[in-house]
Amino acid sequence: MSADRPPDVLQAIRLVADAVAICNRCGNCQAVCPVYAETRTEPGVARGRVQLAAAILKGDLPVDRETAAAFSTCTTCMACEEECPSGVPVVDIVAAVRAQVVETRGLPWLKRAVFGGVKRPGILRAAADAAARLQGAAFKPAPDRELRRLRFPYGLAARRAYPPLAAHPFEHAAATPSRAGRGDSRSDGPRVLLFPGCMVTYVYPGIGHAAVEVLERGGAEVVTPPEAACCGVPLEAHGDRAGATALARLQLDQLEGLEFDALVAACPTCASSFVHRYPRLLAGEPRYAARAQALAARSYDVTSYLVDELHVSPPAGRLETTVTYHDPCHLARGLGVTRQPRELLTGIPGVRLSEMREPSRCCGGAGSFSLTHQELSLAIGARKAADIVATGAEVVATSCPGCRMQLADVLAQAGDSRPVVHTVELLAAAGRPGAGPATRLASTPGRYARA
Amino acid sequence: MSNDLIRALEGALQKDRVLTKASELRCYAYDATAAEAGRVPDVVVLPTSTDEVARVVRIARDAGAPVYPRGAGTGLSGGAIPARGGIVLSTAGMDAVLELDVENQCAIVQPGVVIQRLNDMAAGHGLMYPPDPGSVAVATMGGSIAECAGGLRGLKYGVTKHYVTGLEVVLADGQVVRLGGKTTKNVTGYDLVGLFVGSEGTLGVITEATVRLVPVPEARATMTAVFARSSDASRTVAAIMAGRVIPATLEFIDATTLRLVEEYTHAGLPTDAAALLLIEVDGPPEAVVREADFVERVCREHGGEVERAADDEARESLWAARRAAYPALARQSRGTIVEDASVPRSRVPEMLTAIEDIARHHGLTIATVGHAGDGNLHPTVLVDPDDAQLMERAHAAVSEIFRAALDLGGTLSGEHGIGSAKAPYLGWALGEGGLDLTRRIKAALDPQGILNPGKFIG
Repeated sequence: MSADRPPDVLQAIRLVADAVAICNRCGNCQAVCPVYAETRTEPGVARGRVQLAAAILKGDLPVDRETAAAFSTCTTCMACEEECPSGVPVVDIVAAVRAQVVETRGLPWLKRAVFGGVKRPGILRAAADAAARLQGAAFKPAPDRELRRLRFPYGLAARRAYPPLAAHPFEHAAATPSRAGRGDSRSDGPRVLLFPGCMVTYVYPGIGHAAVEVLERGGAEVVTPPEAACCGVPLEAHGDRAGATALARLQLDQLEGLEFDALVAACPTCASSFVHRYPRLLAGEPRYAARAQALAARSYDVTSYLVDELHVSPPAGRLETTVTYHDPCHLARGLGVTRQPRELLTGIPGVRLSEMREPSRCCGGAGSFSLTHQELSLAIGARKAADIVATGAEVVATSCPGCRMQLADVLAQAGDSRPVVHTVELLAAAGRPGAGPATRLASTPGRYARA
Repeated sequence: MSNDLIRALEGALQKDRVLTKASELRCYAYDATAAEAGRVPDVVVLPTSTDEVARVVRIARDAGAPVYPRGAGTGLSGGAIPARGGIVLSTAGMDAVLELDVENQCAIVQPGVVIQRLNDMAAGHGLMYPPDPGSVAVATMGGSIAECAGGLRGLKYGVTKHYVTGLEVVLADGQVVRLGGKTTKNVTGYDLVGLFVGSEGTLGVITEATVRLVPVPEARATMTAVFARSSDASRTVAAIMAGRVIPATLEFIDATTLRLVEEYTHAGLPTDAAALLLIEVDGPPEAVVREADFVERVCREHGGEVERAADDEARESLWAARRAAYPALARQSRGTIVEDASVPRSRVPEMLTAIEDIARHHGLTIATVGHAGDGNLHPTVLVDPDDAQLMERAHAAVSEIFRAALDLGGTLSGEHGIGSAKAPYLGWALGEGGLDLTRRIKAALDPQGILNPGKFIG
């Protein structure tokens, strides 16, 4: 068989050649892969993908659209990495092949246009604002709660129910370059830069306000970056490593000179960008490498920061309810955080935790995967919905806005209407006056009303 | 492979159940056998019913095309590798548990059911399916029956062939036969079920199986014993058996494995120890206590340093070293050749010595864990598939290990099967007469030689 390119131009994938070589082909990844559970086919599991990467490296397989498709069905949930006896960094390999596809063939025009906007925060905001105003034309209200279904039946897109874009994106006091304004009563506490990320900013501002509320209650002073900009994961997920790297630089430049003690994100994918991805992406760049490392050392997911650094006390109010908790992939396996959100939840007086089966199994959301592979995403999510329903819990908590959107959707698809919230939302609600959990969850957090 | 054949397959199955893209085919070129080169098939089919399997086999028969049945592709003898190109027939999508018959303590399953899933379902009724190969979480019932998989509980509970009482098989001519059934006893005609168990897909495609389940033991006790001399561990095994106690698990871990596991886990294992035994007894609570006390005493009498688990958490930590064995080996080399030569229990000490000598002679690292109670050892050669010279030495060592096992009255394979990896040695074990009989059976059932060619014989 012949490749369309000689192997010596395969720069992106060559970086993972050693990683590819250590796969023993034992197949243990089949046991945990959410995609394989649906497809039961070898191209849909880590072992198959790693062997495809090996074939590309040998020049036995071309880097073409077909190969690209084979690598697009991974949710990057990292379950295989945890299971792998040989320690194969599967997600790195998948990312490298996706980057190779872009390196070899360029980005498709649609992604080029979309990512071009994502890379410039001003445009991203303007586009989101316009979309928020226009969405009534594109979405029809779903029967329950805040979810909307796409009005135009773009194939399977018709089956997905998504929350509306927020009428008022998340905003909070933007950080000033110095601590000049810090003469107030909270000056003893740490200064926390809350990185909101796209999902919190444009879809779930309530999560951002709740995070501010609980961080402040824990004694922190909270500021946000001057401009909302994407962390870059969606670009890297589609192989646009140059774009993702440009965003990494943009983030570091934007934070340069700002004074804060910790960077905290309520989205684990954003948090792991600061903790893991930026140091890796910028390792070879003298201007950025050291800064990325230094920032990584003081970057946190919000739940681990609240528990391990702020040592917050339980909220004053009670919430008589049963909660089940879904572990986001990029929080549980990406950042190793599973204990802290549970401590926060069970610390709320009145809350009983009812664990679901396989709480850290991928929900199938996986960012844009839920749009590009809707059928798979829904099938994976349906298993999660069944596991949630089986707990009998009244409220579903998770610590990721992306998981929250997926869980709300798949529960709605299953005809279930229990609320799905971010851990900090429940924590914030417990500290507020009100009757039951539902009313307090619905009460307006922060300064901006929900749509 | 002709386009006509692929069109015929697409006509027989839903079009998306026939894979023809280069990237898809490449994912069916291999199984878990490190030393066997892959071979890309011409087409992969994903049938969803017995009828579809039969249609595929009939199309293959008419075209004279090879058919390679495949489950999870986790075998260790090359059984699922499409050695001569042709059609890979994956039964992974046929994964329904058709019946769980609690009263008769049996289950009827499709071939793609993962062993662990059957066990999880059976556990809800206090039952279990005892065969537990290392790949139990991923291996399929069809694949494990075709390979007659064993596992850690073989000594007390037997292996796959002791649990299969009924099969539905698609023969090489596309005919569907149903053999055996739910009854424990069945001497109606030849043991045709037995013929297909362990036949490695060379005689027919298993499309349904009826298997026995047994009650989950009420209680169990677990302990490890560390020995300064390997011979003391062997004498301990002999003494336990002489005491007429049959542990559910009696695992041997050698010094090389202990050292590699400790380097990987830093769990505080004794790296100066020569051997570790992991022993588990199960059964009614009173019997478990009596047997565990006996085993503990025997271990101590032979110089073993014993640690006995007080609860489930402690049990898990005792099992950790055994569970970490494969990951430790896998992480410290680029490839592993896991062999499974078996000898009569009493010859295990001699076999261990032979393996050590062979490793030294060839300058190789061979780590051995094994099911000491049933004489089934897993000498694992650490290799690098890209190092041709090392691979040559490894292959030489493996063939010497086979020779040694046979010389000790043992056999080539306890539980991994022959496949392509051990096919060249089959005659050593079977002799001319056995080989000839095997060929006659194969010729009678698959005269065209279309089922899994390149394996076993032919």
